[in-house]
Amino acid sequence: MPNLQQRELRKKYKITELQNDADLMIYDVCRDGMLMAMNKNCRNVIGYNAKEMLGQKIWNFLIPETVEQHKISYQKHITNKIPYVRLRHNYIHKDGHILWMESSGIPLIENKECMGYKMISKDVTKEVHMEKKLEIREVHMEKKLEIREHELLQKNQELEHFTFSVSHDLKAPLVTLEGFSSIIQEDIGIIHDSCPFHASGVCEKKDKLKQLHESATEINKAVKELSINIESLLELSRIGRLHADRTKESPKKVIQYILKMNEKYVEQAQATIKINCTIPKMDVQKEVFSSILQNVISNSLRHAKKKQEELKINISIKKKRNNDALIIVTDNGKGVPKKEREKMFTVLSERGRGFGLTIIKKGIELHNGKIWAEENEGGGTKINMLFPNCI
Amino acid sequence: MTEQELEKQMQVFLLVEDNDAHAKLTTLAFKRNNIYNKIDRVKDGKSALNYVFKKGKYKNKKTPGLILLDLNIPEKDGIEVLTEIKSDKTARMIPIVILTTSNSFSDIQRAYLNYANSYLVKPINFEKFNKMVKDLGIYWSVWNVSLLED
Repeated sequence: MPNLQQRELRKKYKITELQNDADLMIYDVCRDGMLMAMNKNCRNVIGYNAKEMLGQKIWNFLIPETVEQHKISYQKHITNKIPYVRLRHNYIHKDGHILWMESSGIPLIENKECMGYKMISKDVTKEVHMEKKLEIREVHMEKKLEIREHELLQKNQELEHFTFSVSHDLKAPLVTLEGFSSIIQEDIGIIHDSCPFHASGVCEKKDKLKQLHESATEINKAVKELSINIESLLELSRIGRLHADRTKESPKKVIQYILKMNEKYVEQAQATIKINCTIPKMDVQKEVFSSILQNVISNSLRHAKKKQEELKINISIKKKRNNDALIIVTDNGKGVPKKEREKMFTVLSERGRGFGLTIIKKGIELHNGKIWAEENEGGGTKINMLFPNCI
Repeated sequence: MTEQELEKQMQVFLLVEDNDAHAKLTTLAFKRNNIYNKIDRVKDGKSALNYVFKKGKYKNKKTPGLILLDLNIPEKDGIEVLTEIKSDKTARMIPIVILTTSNSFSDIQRAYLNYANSYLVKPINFEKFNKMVKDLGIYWSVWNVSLLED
């Protein structure tokens, strides 16, 4: 039975048919859940017309399983005088099908007491179904992606393992090849030099011996080239398998060490190298970092030199915004044609011997960095390497 | 001292290597660098252990002054050989130098965890290989003080 207050409220808000509003259900609900005002267009939403609904409890139109829960929540709202904000409930349409309704409402306050709610609901069945479908699809896609990612990772590891074992199997016979071809080359040289008849030109074996020496030298050269390739292949596969933690390293020290290890090439290229470093420590994977620089520097040392000109290499390490470090290596050498420069660090660049460029690229990737080549002012090459967030 | 007496005094190096060419190359490199220690070579892990523990046909062998051990060898692999020798109270005094093509972290770690005395990676470049064998020979036959007796 509606109490006195509710009766008063009914008088005040009258049991009226509210203004039509397309496909919205606009209504007032009493403290006890009774519908007291209703718009005409509720029919378009729930199938019943206003007259059929007015005076009935709102829960008569909910699906039975949720009624209790709804009543409890309604009491809580009334006690705390809180508004309804886009709450979703299942209603039963007059023709029997189940609707998803989204409702919002404001409490009707009388003498500091909540006497009921002014509500507005709309049919969101289509949206909910769509959302559910999307959700299912999303979960499905996520699972698929996860599986793909796992597969890719596995394939990658397999490939890296394969490269590693293959290059190791290649290394053993190379040690033999290089060893014996060097010995042959040396020994022929010794025999040639120690034959007393050579000087007088009467030794008929002299030409043969010279030919032998040249042949051995050719073999030796080829083997050495092969060795460089295999060694850098090994280095590449090792970088791929490395998952080392980052440590604080002094870039200057790393570079100085690299230069020391490359003394021979520095000397051969008669290169002058200047280091300008303003960063004391960088957060890097040490071995990978030093591989990157080693390859960049040795590329300049081995391939850049123009004849009859002193090779100058400048290495600068500077701080950029956001704690990024920018390392620039410039040389005054032959330079790289623009077309080649653009794809220099892409997957299948044909430039350079071995896998040096690939090692650099992979190493930079491991540091989430960027690398690009430009033309140096006054000729030569300028390699820029950006290591984000590592100072 | 006659040459024979000298040879008797000099320690024997045991080379454990299954690759014939590498064995020959190592031996050659020793000779070319005037290191005249006798080099005995075995091809697999089992023979290496028999040699060290003087079993079977190796019963009259001297205790080697140095073992050059490859990791990738048949019968018993290098790490097994290393572990067995280093768990023997006498034989563990023999310095064991791992000589291999592998520079993988796990191999190096396993070697040192099992008390290898040194780990060397065979360089492909013969100049370096030659230099390494020379340094190795001089270090262990000239500079290193050994407690081993026959």
